[in-house]
Amino acid sequence: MSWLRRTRQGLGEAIIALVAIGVFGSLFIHVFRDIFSPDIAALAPNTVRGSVSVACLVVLATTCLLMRRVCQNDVTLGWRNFSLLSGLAPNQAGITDIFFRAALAICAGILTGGLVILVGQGALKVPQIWIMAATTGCSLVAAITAPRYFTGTRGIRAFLGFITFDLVSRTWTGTRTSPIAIMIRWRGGLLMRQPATWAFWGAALLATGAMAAASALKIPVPFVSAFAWLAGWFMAVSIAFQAASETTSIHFEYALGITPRQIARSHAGTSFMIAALSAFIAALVCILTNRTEMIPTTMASAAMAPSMIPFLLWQIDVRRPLIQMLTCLMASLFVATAIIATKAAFLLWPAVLVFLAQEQGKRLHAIASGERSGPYT
Amino acid sequence: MLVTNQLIAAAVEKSFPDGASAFKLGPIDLELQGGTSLAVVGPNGSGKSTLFQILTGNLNATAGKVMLSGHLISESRKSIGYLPQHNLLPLWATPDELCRYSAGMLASSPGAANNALAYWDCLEFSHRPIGMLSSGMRKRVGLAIATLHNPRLLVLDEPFEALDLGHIAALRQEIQRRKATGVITIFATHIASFAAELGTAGYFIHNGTGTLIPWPESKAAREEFLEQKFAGVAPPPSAFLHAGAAP
Repeated sequence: MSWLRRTRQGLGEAIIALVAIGVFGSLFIHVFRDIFSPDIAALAPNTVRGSVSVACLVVLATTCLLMRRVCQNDVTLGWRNFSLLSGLAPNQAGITDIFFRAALAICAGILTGGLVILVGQGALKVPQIWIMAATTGCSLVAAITAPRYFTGTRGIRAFLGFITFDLVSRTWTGTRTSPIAIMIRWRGGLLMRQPATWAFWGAALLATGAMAAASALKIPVPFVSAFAWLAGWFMAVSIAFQAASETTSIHFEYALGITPRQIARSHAGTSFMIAALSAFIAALVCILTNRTEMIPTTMASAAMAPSMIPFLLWQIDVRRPLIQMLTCLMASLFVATAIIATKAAFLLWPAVLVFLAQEQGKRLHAIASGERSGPYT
Repeated sequence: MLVTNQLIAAAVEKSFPDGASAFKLGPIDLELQGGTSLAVVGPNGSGKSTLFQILTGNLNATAGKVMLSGHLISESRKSIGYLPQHNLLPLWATPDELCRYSAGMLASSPGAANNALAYWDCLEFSHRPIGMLSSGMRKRVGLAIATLHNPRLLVLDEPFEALDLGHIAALRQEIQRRKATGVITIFATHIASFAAELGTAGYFIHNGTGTLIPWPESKAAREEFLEQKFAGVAPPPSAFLHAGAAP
C-alpha cells in the first residue's frame, strides 16, 4: 500500500483538485442539464443501467491506471528487459510490455485497418469479415514483431523504424529537413516510448471500445460523443505527461539552440497529429456502426482535447501534468459539449484555440526573456 | 569588423529575486580569446555551474551581457557545445538517436554524429537506451553531443567525473587539440593536476565572485598554487573522522 502512503503525502493538492473537480462538475451539469435531459429520458431503463455500468467500469479502470502511474514517478522505461534492469518487479515489467504491444497494435491496426477499409469496402466491396481479419492480422504482426526493435538487429530495426516510432529518420541526410519537422518526429517517438503514454493510450482504447459499443447499440449522440471526448482526453493527457518528463532533460535540447517557442511548436505538431488520429478513429467507428449522421460531432469531440493541450501546457506549469489534466478537462469538455448542443459552437473551437495560443505565447515570451521563471530559464 | 573566437562577459550578474535562492553571482567580467582553455576552479556551491549556464545562454543573466564573436550569446547558441554537470538525457532515446537529433538541430551532417560517437567510443552501445547506460557511458554520450559540431565555444562542467582512464586521455587530447586550433574551451574541475595541465588560464570562483588567477609557467607551480588557493577557502580537516584511523 505504498502508493496510498504517497498519495496521502500530497493530501493538500488532492483535496484542492477534488474540490475543483466538484465545482466544475456541478457547473457543467447545471449549464448543460437541459440538453441532456430529453436524451436520457428517451433511453430504455436497461440501456441506462448498462451505460452506467460500462461508464463505472471505465472510470474505475482508468482511475486505477492513473493512480498507479501518479504514484510511480520513478518508473523509467517500459521494455521488459529495461524495466527489469530499472528495478521493476517482473509482473510490473510484464504489464508495461503488454501496454507497449497494445499501443503498437492500436496504431498499426488503425493505420492499416483504415486503408484496408477504404480500399476493401469502398472500392473492391470485400465482405466485412475479411476486412476485420486483415486488420486484426496486421495489428497482431505489428504487436508481436515491434518489441524486437531493441534487439539490435539493424535490418529489422530499419524495417520497423516506421511502426516503432524511430526518433530520427533513418533516411535523413542533413538537408531539406526543417528543425520543427525533426522535433515533431522526435517528440512523437518519445511519446510512444513512455510507460505513462501506454497507460493512457490503454485507457483511450477502453474509452474507444465504449464509444464503439455505445454507437453499435444506437445510444444517443451525446453519449457516444462523450466517450469519443474521453478517448481524446486520455491521448491529450499522455502529451502532458510527456512534456512534464521532458523538463528533466530539457537542457539537452536547450544546449542545441532550441528555444521554448520551438519546443511549444513541436508539441503542437505532435498534438495535432494525435488529434487527427483521434478524429479518424471516431469517424471510423461511426462508419462501421452505420451512424454516419454523427460523424462531425464525434470527430470534434475526439479531437477537442488533443487540439487544446499544446496551448495549455505552459499556461501554468508544464512540470505538473495533473494541472494540465484538469485544465484540459475543463476547457475541452465545455467546448465539446457546446458543439453537441449546437453546431454553431464549431465556431467557438478555433476562437478558443487562437485565444489560448496567444495567451501561451505571452507566457513563453516572458520565460524566454527571463521575466518569468520556468524550466527553460 | 570581423571578430573571431572571442568570448566577452561584461558585468554579468545573476540573482533569484523570487525567493528561489539567496545565492548571488557576480558581477563577473571575463574576456577570452581564441585558443584559450580556461580552467574554472572553486569550492562546491560557489557558482561555477550557474556561471556556465549563463555563458552558454541557458540561463538569463539578471544584469550584464555575454557576447561570442561579436554576437549576443542568445544568437550564437549553435556555436556552443555544452556538457552540464548533471548530464540528464532522455532515458528512452539511444546515443545514436541523440547524436543524430543533435546533428539535425545543429545543421551538422549525420556523418559528424557517427564520428563523434566513434571518437568517444560509444558505437558499441549506441543502440541501447540511455537509461541502460552507466554514468561514465552517459558522460561520453554527453561529450559526443557537445563536441560533434566542433563548436567555437565548448563549456564542460566537471567533465572528468565518472570517466575511466582511457576516456580521460581522449578528453585531454580533445582539449589540447582545441587549444591548437584556436577555439575556446572552458572547463570546471576539482582535480588540480588536470586544471594545471590543460588550462592556459585559471579562474577562481568563491561565493559567487570570480577572479582570474595568476598562471605560473610550469605545470607543477600551477598545481601547487591551486592547492594553496583552495587551502585558503576550504582548509583540510584538522582531525580524523574516526578515532584510531590514523595511518
